[in-house]
Amino acid sequence: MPKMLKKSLSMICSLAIVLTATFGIGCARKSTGSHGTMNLRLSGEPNLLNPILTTDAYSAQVVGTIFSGMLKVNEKLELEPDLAESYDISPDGKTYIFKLKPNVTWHDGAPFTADDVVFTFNTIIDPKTNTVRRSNYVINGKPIRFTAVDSHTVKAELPEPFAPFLLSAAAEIIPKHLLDNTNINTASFNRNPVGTGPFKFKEWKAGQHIIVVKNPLYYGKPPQLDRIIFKPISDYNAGKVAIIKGDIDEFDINPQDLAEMKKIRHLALYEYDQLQYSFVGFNLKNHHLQDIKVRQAIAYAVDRKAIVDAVLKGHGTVADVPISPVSWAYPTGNAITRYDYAPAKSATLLESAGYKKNTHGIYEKDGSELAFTIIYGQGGKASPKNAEIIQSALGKVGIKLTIVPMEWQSFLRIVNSGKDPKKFDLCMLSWSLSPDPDDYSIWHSSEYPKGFNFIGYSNPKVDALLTRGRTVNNHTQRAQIYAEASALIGHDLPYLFLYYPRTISAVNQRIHGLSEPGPAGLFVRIEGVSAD
Amino acid sequence: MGYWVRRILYSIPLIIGMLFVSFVLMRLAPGDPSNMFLDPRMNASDLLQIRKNLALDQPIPVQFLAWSKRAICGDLGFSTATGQPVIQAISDRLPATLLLSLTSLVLTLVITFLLGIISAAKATKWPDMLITFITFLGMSIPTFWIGLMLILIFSVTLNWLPASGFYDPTLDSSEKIAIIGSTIQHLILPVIACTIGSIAGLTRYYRFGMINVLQQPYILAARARGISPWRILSRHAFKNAALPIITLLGMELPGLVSGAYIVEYIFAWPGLGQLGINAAFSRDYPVLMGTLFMSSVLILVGNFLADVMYSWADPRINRNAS
Repeated sequence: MPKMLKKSLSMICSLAIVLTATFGIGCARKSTGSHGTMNLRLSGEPNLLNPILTTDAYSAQVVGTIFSGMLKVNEKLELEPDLAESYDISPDGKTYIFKLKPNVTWHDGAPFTADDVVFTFNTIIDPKTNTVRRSNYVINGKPIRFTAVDSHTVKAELPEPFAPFLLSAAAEIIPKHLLDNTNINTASFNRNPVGTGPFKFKEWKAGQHIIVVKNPLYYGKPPQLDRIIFKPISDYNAGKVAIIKGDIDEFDINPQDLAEMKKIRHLALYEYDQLQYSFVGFNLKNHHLQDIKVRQAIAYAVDRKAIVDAVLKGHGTVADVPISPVSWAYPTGNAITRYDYAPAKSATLLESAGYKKNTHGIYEKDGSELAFTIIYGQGGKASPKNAEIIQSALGKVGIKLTIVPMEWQSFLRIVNSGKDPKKFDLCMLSWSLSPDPDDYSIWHSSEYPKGFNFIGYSNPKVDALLTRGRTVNNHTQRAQIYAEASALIGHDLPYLFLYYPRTISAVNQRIHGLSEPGPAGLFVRIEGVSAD
Repeated sequence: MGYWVRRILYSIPLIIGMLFVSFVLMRLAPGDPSNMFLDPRMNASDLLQIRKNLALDQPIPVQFLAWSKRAICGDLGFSTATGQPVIQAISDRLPATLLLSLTSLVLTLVITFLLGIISAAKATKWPDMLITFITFLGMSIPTFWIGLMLILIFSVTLNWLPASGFYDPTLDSSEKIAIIGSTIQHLILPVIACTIGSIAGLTRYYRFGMINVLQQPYILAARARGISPWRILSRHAFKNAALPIITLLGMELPGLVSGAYIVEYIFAWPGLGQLGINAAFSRDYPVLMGTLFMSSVLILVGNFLADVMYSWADPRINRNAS
């Protein structure tokens, strides 16, 4: 028997050697990268590639290369014409006229016309379409009316002035000739898309890759890359290995890995702000948290700079208002109330609010302790470490905090319950912001309990500003309105604003033509990107 | 024969029962597929409309009946997350899953039998102790760690094998042989990761079964007749010691298609595990029901096959059944 065993073992060994010898060479070749090909990581498998239906960031990443809209957001988060040549807004702010570029064709060669634009927006408005975008085109229950004035002119008639509409008008356009009279929710088009963008869809192997290739008919600057291969790699460590090996060309790294990545010669590193902030929301229906002094005491007790240093290794900024510093509507410095770390103030504030420390060292009033729970959804963007640091900081000043991590959907069920009051004290979350500062649904009092103002914030001044910001079309005026609203909210402290994280992107040096690093990413002008 | 037909018929109500319980349990979990559509800019009424479009506003038994009616006709519906037909979503990922799980199963069995036999033949001597040590080590190391170490050694340091994916996407679909080569290359590390995890348990079972069998009087009798140890092991002991393994394999059959999620995740392997987990997190009921349907059928098929193999390994069972 031992002989037999030896034989089979040696067979297995030699098989392994043959396999690695045969294919090992091929593997080494690949890591040098293919000319004209860029490999991008997707941190998950896209759901579908129809721009009016997507809900996940991975789909949007691919869709952005295949489709284009009448307008597009540039590096400075401003809108510029794309499929449209120009646009006009009537003085009453209710009629928008878009002039489309002539001679644009779909990837299948069919001409692009105003009918496609009207079809796209009408499909979004159709209640049968399962899209999150419908609300952008329905104002106070009345849908926006889209008509084709001629083959290359689109008219949008709004029931009332609505400034955020311009950003919604930048939505990517889908082809009428391929989707008319189909069930858009289940159309095979959604996995085999045809657009007008710089790249054409080639293939999608579920869980493996999506390939898009250069569109020779592109109306803009001719794309430099021959193709882009999108690879879904969910695991962070696998992504890290892939960027080091050259299997992918761009990867957003954790700050902890920065030193290691700096040592890798073929990588260039870029750091830039995101349109995002993390926060702890106070349930303002809680009888303790209703008192601004209690919220201020909590804010002063927490060293948010220390959180930025510990969680983000310093690659972020402390947040004080619900708007990103890169936004054009960010308030000026002195308008912002800052609750910088000052634990001594916490005690003073609590005592002035009538709280006294009990025998356990916890503040209480009328027999009710300052003891809260903080909930958060696992897998969300806000780090669980934040909660631990906050817990320890509050413990030091005499406020008890219990951390309750929850499965994401269970968490949503609580904050989105649609009932008053909601069953939480504090909740930790992040908001990804839109380039338009209209956060009506988050801060307007009418958005509670149904809506995203789940903490029950209500300030008539803020309500008025948010309503006005939607009706004024002047850019400067809007910037002032939202800056004022943000400053008011920051002062009221309905959230403990934690930080604005920064993205650190590692990009293979063989990739050129990146756009100015910023919240819109590095590939805003994907057609200008090339690879050695 | 009647016994086997009866067994198949008994399975039908069992499948329906399993599916109904799964259907109800799934809906007891908080949230539903419409949560995927949550967006701060969205009105509550639009969300209600989407729930209506997805028929989530119907009572659960009505939803189950509607689903069953379609399922009987072979229509498992559309994924709520992707709008793709469920059958398509499953069949897109089935080949990768089967490739990984079958390769790993064959390797596991071969290694298990070899190690089990050596272990039992040399029970309590150093080869047995070494194998026991190694198998316990394999059992205690989490799969994700094995996976990451394999990547670190064979992919990053030695640069012998690719770290993730199914095959090199830069290959054109006409280069069939190169694609097969690339797939094998991508398969090696995930297979090793899957196999190390499963060898450990099975080897322990097989070693125990073998030791038990080797102490039986008929083995002693065979030895007394001067039959060579190899012949005793391969002809007399092998089948009998395999009985517990057959039972375990029967139960493992659904596992072959449910996918090895952790390994798939680490190696970005495009299998059913990822599909199932994503569906669970996004409460994609149609996809979940589709994968459960497949697993339920396979549990029964697995048990059925285990019985058939049992009667091959131990003919007494067949006689009792008939």
